[in-house]
Amino acid sequence: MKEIRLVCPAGTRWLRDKIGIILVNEEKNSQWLLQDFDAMLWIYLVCGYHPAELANILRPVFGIDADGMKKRIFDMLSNWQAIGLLQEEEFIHGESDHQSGL
Amino acid sequence: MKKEFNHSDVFLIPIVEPYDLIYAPLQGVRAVVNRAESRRIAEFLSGEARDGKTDTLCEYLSEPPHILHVVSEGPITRPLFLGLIPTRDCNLSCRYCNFTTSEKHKVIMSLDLVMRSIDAYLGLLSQNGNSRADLHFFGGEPFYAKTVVVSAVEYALFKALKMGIDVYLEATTNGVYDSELCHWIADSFDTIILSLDGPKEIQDKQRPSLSGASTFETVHRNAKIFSEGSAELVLRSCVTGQTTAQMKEIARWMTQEYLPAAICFEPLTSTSRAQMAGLFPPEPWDFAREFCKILEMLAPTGIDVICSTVDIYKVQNTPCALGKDALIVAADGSVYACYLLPDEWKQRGLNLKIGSVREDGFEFDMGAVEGVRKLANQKRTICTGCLCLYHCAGGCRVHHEINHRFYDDLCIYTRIITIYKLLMDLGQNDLANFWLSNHDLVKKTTLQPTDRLEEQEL
Repeated sequence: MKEIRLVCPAGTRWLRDKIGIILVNEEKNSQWLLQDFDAMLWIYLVCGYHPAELANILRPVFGIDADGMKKRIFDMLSNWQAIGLLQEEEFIHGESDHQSGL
Repeated sequence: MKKEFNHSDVFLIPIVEPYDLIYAPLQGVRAVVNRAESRRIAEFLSGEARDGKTDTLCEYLSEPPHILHVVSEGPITRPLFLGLIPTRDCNLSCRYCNFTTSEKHKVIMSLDLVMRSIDAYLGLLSQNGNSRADLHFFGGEPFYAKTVVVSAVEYALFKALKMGIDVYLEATTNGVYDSELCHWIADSFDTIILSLDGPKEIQDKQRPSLSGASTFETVHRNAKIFSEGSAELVLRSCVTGQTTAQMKEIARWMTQEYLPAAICFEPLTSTSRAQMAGLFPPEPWDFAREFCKILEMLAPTGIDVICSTVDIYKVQNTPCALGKDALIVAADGSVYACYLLPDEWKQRGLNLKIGSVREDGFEFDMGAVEGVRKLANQKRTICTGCLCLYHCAGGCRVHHEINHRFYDDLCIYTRIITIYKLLMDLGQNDLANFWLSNHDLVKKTTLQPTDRLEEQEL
């Protein structure tokens, strides 16, 4: 069964700095800085957490209820798609879940 | 009338006639001198110098200690670190480990407690003007509770940044997890202490998974990831009687395969589990000799070779966190001064629980805090004349038997390695190796009842 997942465009690299997460895509000549909530969300995704399970983990940190946190997470993912940090990719369920750059 | 000798922390260790090692840890002095010079120094320090002549070495030795022997007192204002024990549970079944996984050890720290612990710790640092936080993770296997560790790190970084505090991260781990998590650890932590006993045959024999399966391939892959990451990698090998002869081979293999900043060799502590598995501690003489050979072999590489009781660059009351106001939080919210299982120190009649994490911060039992500090400061009978008094300091207060009158295994290997390191630091490689190669000399030096200059017949 085909499904959709979000991945970084090829060539995206990231590193952690004191001020936050710095991302660079040389092919697209793009760079981003993620801080606070955005940086924390990025790290959880990198560590293999599904966005749906993050609402409960992040809720107490930011003092938001579960529904509010879920909305904030999915809004952020949409935003990252809009700015080119993430893109949709079709995959067949059961295949490797390796995500380029993530 | 003989003047009172007031430089009792000057040690003299006869190496081989006519050479003596003079060591004054509190003055930061170490020197190789001949016996005539040793006598002259002894006379000078006792006020009996006939010619009244002095020199730089005598002047240094007669100075008041300038390396401070810091002892914590009063309220806790500068904790050594915040230690978190996310779980006592573990995915391995090491043949010598007595951190057995019973039901009570399977508890996982709540995220609420993680946040309260970090808030309390950062608050304590901030109130006392500290700008560096040290966050350490212990287990069981801390990353077996992955969400707890990831959340603790990210929350600490998030909060500390807003408070102008730098966070230093350290974890002790078995390295058995997926590569995704390993990459994050390698790029987020400052120091990783990875338990890896040796090549496949040794690792799989001593450190199998819970099901008894091999762990080598996973740990090997992750050690490579750590080698490429920004974290400083310390490889820790537990040495048994069976692997002592292979120590040098293990060290060489580790430096060929990985990029460690340090390699740590610790002798096996005898446990009932280890005995059942047929594993026993190494002979201290053999362990020390092999350790010293590795020190020499790796000296040109810049890779440190370490053992917990032989850090000669420190002046301390204990070789661990005890008595330095470390705050180690367990999954039930208790704050301990030591990461060992409470059952272990309770069996010794000790109380190392110093408080709890409450809703609004730490609640310390200052009576218990003072008790721990007193325990750490206690001088042990056998230690008072030993040159290792200020770095080994008597070893673990829980596992190392106290107040015996003869050197035991820990004393023997600690003394040999200390003497060898001091000689090597002085550039006396030939003297050090000559001494080490002669068992009678090593035995005579190591077993001398006191190293104090004032107590020796010269």
